[in-house]
Amino acid sequence: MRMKRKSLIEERYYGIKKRQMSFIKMVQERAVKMKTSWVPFLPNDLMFKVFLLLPIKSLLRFTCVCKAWYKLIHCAEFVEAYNNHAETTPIILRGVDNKRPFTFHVETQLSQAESFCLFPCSSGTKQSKSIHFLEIDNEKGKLIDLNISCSGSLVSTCNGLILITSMQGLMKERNSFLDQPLVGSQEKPGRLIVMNPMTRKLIGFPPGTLPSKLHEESYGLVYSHLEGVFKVVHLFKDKSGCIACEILSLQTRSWKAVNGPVGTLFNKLGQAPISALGALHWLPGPSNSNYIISMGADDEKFSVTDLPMTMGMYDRLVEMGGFLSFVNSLDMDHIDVWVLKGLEGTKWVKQHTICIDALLGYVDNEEYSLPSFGLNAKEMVFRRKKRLYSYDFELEEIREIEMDHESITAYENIIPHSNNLATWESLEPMRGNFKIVGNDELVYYGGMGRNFVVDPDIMCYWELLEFVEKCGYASVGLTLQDGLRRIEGDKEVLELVELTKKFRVLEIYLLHHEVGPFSTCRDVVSESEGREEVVLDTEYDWEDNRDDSPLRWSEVIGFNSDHSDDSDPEYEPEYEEDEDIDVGGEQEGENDGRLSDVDLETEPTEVTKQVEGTDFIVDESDESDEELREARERVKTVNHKCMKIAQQLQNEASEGRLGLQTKQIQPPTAAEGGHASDYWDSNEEAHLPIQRGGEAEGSATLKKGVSVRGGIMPPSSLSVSQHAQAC
Amino acid sequence: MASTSTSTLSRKLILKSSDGEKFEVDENVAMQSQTIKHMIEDLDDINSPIPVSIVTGTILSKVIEYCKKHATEDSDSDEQLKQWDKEYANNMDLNTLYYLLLAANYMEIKGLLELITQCVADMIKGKSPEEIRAHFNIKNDFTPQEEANIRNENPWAFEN
Repeated sequence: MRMKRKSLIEERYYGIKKRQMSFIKMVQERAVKMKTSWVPFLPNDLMFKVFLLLPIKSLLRFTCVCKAWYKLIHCAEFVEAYNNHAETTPIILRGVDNKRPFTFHVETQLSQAESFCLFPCSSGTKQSKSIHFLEIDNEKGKLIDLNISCSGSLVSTCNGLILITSMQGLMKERNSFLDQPLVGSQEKPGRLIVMNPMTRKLIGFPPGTLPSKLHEESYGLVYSHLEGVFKVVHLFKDKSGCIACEILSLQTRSWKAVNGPVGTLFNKLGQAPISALGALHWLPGPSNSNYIISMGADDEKFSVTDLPMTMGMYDRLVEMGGFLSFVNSLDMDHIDVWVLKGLEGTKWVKQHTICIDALLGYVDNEEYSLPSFGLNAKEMVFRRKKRLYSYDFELEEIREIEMDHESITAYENIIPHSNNLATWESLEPMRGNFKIVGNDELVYYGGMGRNFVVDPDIMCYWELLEFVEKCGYASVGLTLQDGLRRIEGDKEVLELVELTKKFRVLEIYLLHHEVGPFSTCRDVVSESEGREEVVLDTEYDWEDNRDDSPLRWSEVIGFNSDHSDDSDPEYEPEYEEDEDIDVGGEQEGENDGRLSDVDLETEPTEVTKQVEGTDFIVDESDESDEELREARERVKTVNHKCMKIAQQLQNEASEGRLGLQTKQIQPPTAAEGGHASDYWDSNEEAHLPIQRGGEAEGSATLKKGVSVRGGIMPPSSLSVSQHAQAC
Repeated sequence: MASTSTSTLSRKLILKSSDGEKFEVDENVAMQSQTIKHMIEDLDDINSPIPVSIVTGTILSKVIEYCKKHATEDSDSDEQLKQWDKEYANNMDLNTLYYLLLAANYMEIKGLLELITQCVADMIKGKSPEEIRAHFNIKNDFTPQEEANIRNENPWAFEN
């Protein structure tokens, strides 16, 4: 049976592969036939917005569409934004009867991931349970098997991560001297596992100090927004009978002891704390206590908050919409829901009173309905053995959640959880890429764009300086080919003002730094330069540091004749267009040569002429003519080299060596018709101005504006173009 | 109605699409676009056409249709407006929808942007990766092994 399934799956993948090929072919054919009817290319920032609205299932599926989508879905900005959106989808551990192929065994995976194995592989043991989550939509519940099995127990969840204690052997009775090492003991130390069941990333830790008595401990998972770190909190009763606390940060990955809750009584430590309001909360006893104990995730300090009522046997703390609520059964007829919206100084507010009549009709102690979890800010789910009910606070209605296929069993613990992309690892920030779009323009896609709009007529020194500071280090110059300069002080900024006033268009190029799991050989900066922080200082170490000498492109970007493109961030785009668009995956040119032969052939002489004719150069007249001439010569040389490379690539393309590449056709809207000025007009193609598309026709639109578009990926990877269109 | 006083005061603006088509609209209609709002602030001559550079006439007319509906607060209830939004989005073909999305993003019309992003999300959420690639004309740049690895990470996401 299993074998058959396996071969079926293999067949499936084979089929997929075949289909991929035919799609690529189809795409190519269509590109030729219907150039204008393409779905327009949606830039990353729009896809970002669309992705935010997708259920996690679709997102996970779409990670295999292409590398660009994979990167976008797994970038730090997206994960953070998405996690803020995620709804509660409770998670359940249930016994498994039948094994499915590709089951992910938590413990096995962990022991594989770690170089040594502290505990036996438990994948085959009969206690193993599989992780399901409960999807609730419109009063319909559906259990979804994640195909993940584990033999431990699920003790806590927080922001999309789950904490599993895998403690075989520790469940036996022990005497009170057992916080010594377990040498020679039959018991084996367990493992703490933190995992995101969605991404299946997991990490194991040694458990905390053993409590003096079994079950006299409590594990909780909490997220510190201040530090951006997940923490495992372990409360336990030590030898002296005091409640001690230790915390494991998922960043440092080691335990440290902190001061426990002093002077409070913990009657029942076995329960898992509730995470809300940036803290963990414990109800210290089964009944008759009138306070809760909280530990702040950021300051790791314990505090005591009074409850509005003395708690009863069935009372619970529930997280609801980020707030903490205390669900208190006042009498047999009513349940009060108190809400606490902040920790210090805030008071409990009685938000709702639920009439039990309305809730469930007849109630006895055996069949009491327990509040289970807050579904969102306005719905709370109650549970009565096998049945689940959701109570809508706005409508004041209770409805049974109809379970699809299987229902939960009375003994299964439902733990609130949200399915998201949370991780303890540091994620890549979102980065953009240079892309050549349909009309041969160079556009910076992805990353986070920034636009600054200012009126060039009143644009002052300070504004420009601010832009530059916001963007990072900018290089001042007319175009790449004219030579880039670095802003060193007032002089350059004033020059910028002048240029902007004169041409109404100004482009600021910034170093684009690309590192990523899928960065290809075009990974220009990372190859030559390891650390981001130093890129601007060393990679961009200007040999010619004198304030007012126009730097040659070759120097700025480290161009060398053997065209190893490893030090040429600004030039990267052309290479990308011509050879390899792995990262983007959106636009590839069938007719790769187009760009190069159109643009570069006429370029060298023209550029030089224009350079001569601009104030930019005239401004430099205090420098010797000699040097200028030399600079221009070098520019010329560079341009020639560019052309050579472009031609070479073009030839390669025409010989078909560049492989399966298709051209993304752009919306016909971009950059047709409108032109900034004659100067720019003649140079446009050659200089590949960034993000011209958005503003070309809008020359009049933005006639009084300067817009700067760039990235906000600190501290590098920025690209900015600035336009102030001609009046 | 209640808003007659404001509408009589409202100035007319001329919007010009990328293909040169001109549309005369009330200022309060056009002002729903943050982009246009900013432009108007800088504008000396209110009578000169305002170019909406990346939006074609066909798309711009749709955008204006939306803005007009949402500029008159008095007539419809929220419920009716939602219904209208739904029909408005449902009547679009795919291509129009994408261009509309780009236009709403460019013109910074919050409501329209939200409506269309939701619409696009609803449309693509059930699709398979292959369908998505064909749909958006995306080349699969994973090796078969890489793709299989990603698929094996979350087999449940690929089930229906």
